[in-house]
Amino acid sequence: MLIYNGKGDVVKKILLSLSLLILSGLTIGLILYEQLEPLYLEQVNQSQEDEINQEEASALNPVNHGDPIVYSLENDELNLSFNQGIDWVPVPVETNLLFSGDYNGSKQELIDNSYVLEQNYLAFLYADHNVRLMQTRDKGETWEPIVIIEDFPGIRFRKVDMLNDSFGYVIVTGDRTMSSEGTLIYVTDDQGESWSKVNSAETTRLLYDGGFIDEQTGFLSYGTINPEQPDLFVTNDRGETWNQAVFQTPEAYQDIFVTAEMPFSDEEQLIIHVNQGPNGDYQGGLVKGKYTSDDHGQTWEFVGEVAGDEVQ
Amino acid sequence: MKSNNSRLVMLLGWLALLGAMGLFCLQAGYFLIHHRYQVEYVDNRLFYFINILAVILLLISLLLFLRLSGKVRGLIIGIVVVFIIVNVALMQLSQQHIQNIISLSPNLENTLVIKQDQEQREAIYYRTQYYLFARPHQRLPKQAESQYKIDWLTEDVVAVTYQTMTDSIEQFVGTYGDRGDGISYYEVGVQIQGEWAGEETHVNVGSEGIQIDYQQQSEWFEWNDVVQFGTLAIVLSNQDGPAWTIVLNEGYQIYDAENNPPEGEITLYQVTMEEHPPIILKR
Repeated sequence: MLIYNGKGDVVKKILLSLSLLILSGLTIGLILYEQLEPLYLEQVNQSQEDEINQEEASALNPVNHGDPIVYSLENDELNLSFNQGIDWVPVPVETNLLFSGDYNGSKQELIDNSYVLEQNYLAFLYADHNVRLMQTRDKGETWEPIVIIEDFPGIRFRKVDMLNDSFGYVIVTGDRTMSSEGTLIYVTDDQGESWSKVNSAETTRLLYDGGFIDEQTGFLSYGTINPEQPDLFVTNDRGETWNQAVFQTPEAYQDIFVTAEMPFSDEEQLIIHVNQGPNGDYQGGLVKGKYTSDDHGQTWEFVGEVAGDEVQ
Repeated sequence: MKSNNSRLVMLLGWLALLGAMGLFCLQAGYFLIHHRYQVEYVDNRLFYFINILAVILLLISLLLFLRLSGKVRGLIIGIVVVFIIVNVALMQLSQQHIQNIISLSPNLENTLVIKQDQEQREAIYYRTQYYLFARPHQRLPKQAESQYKIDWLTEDVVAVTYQTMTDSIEQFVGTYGDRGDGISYYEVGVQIQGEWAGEETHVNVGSEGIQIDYQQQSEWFEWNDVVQFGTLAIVLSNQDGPAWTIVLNEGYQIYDAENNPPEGEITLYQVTMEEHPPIILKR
């Protein structure tokens, strides 16, 4: 046809040789393929494992699923995420200092009320020999560590809250000996830039809970061990003076509702729930007494019973 | 006219020869990358098929280029036929030893590859690389007794359901995409929190677990009973094994950097060997 004489003979030889080479190569390949060891999963995975481990290590699990700002307490680090765990920002605090002092609860999640997670202000209360606050106003781009109280031994109760863009408070108790301890309260008017100490109630009982509901009105509820009646102190001058609140409890409930929780406002009046304390067994111990106040928390009038799960 | 024919024959001859040489190089290269990058052909039979194709092209080019005597031509054709028969036989043997299960996604962009050792009934899920090659990725849970039921739930999520030796039903989910930036890992469970509704179905995803109400029957799954596949699917198990699969549909938007809540639809799919259409759920 096209390649058949003269010069074509050379080409023919080349072509046949090439074909023979390809055919031989394919035949050798076939023999080798039959002898080829299959890939073992473990062997292949070995090289991928480090990669996967690294990925898993970086995949932190949020503790407070579903909250707008979530945190994780893994690998001895406190990390924050503003997009449900996709990106994380580390908080420059040693995690053991978040649980220091007189605390025996879970270290898998932060102590209730020991932190603030708002979009424009985040803060974490922690303590070594000083009580400190690690705070940021730009979602963790810059952190501001400050000392709130110097030389404060054995922190027990701790609470920090920011009520609005300027006013916030820190309440801590410590130096506990048996059933008495000191309570210290600090307030800020510049979103945590400076803190000033205010007075606290004149009692050394163990604090149950405390807090401010606005810039003037604050409460301290005492009695964690065998309380017999609500022991609530109220201030209407941002901690300058504290008075013991008066509870008007019907005779039948006198010894039942004994520990006051933090009051809250429903716009018209203040409401407080008083629970049965650690030993209460009235209706299973879950029912609480509801009281209201029209004089900024100085006196409380009994309204009725509320079931435990109705309580906010 | 004759000259035109000659030119066409010449062209075809060269194309066939180049094709044969190309396939030969591919086969030679296979041994290199098999060892170096730990990959196999997506289907083990592809090796034999390429061999056969290569010798057929080679034969075509020889017949087109050379004027061969009857004897030589017969010899060459004979060699090629023997070569093809050997390859076909080995291909059959190979399939008896390792069964190749391959399924293309509806848009032909993703390929499910599973290779099952027929003696040990052990199945390995492969991830494809450059269309032709695949790398062992994961062993399928439990040995399969039955055929595999394969359903592409989205273009990039495939559910493989099978019956095990102990008569339980297992499901493996292959995922080939992402609904985020493709870099970050995220939890599907977190992304779908809230209430979902579909035909005769209501799903509530909360922080404690997932509640599925389907055709007046209610089932509760704690997060411990939920296994995530890739970043697209979760499988919910009860005491009998996997019961439901939930998939983030295409176009699902996860939490972004501004923490805008997720948007989109999800698919709920019952784990069963019977044919069941997937249920689309909306918020």
